[in-house]
Amino acid sequence: MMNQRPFESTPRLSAEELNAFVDDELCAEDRERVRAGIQADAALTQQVCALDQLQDWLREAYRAPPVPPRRGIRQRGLGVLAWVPVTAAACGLLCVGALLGWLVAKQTALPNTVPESVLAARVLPPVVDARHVLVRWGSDAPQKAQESLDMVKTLLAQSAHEPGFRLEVLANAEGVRLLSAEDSPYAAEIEALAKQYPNVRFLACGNSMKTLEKTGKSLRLLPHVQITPSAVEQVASRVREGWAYLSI
Amino acid sequence: MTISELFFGRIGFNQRLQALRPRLYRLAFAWCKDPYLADDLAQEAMIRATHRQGQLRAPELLDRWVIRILANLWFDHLRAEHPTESLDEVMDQLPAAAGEEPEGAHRRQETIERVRAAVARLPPVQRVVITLVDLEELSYREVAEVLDLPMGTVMSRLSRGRQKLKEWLIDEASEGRRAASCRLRRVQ
Repeated sequence: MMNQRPFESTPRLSAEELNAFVDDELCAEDRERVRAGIQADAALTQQVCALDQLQDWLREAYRAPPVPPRRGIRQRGLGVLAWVPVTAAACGLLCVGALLGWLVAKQTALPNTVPESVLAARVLPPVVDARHVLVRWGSDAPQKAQESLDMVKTLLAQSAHEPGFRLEVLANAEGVRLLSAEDSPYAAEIEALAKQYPNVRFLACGNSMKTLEKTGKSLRLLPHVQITPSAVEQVASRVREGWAYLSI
Repeated sequence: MTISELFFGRIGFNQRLQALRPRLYRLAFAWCKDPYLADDLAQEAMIRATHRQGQLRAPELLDRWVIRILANLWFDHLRAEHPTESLDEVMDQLPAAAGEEPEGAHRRQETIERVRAAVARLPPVQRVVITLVDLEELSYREVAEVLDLPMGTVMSRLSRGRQKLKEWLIDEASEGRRAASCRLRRVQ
């Protein structure tokens, strides 16, 4: 025979009330009433101590659960959805590869095949750092350009004040025209952004500039725009460093 | 929603979801006591959360929302295994814990195993309610919302579950110790 009382109800206090007392779920008035009841009854005090003890044991029992198993082949599964992350990762890799391949194809001035560093960048970074963003303008199509510029402005307005935030806008191919001091329809807005936000940089692809020059067209860039030797290298480098990457 | 909001919302969501994984795994392990199944449940909950991201009404509710998905997955799993029984009645066929009081156990791991075995003997709903309150430290109201149960039901399941744990881990152990003590006196 067990002579210990369970968490049984008393005329004044229910088992649920005792649990709520331990879990600090009672309002001040009820808490005082339960506290008085417990103080007046040694058995209730013992029950509250037992509840406390159980809580402690439970937390200790699951403080360090066994390390999740790593399985080469899934032994038990919950359906094909479990493969979605793998598929998504593979698609991501393919997209990055395809994007970089496309970039290389666009840059006809590039004399060599895909550089080694670009190939290395096809491995996605473990974590994308949302505080570092690279936006590439590869087109000067008015609608896309306007949307992308609006997006840059929104990004800066929302995030430029955050510690460590950096944004690079990289223009290549036809996109370099958007950074032209002479005929960019967005020149004033871009200059204003460059002046207002010290953590934004506007870059033009050096290879794309050379390609333009070969066709007999020269381009004078806006004052705050810097030239990076190769857009491909720049994208690859930033992706490798974990920057978030968007393009138009 | 702008492109950037969508883009950064997704990145932030995925990072916060990844950060929840250890908590989800711990909860799932507390419910099923099987590391493989717990890992599957946690992973499946994260996948479903990713697919249903649009249904999340407020970012600050992410953990409660994913725990709700996890609990539903666990109940679905149990229903598939015990299609004719109520979730309030399903009991795992685990042996009762040996009658030694955890306090007196010499090895900490034995105590941990006894508590885990006792939790695994509880009916599923009681098990889930207790772990959400004691491990996740959710309020009764939050548990009621996560499990879509009335608050009174949460309180009664919690009370009954703890009562059973007390019987298995404290009362029976005390009884076993007392019986052993009587045998020793007879030997003397």
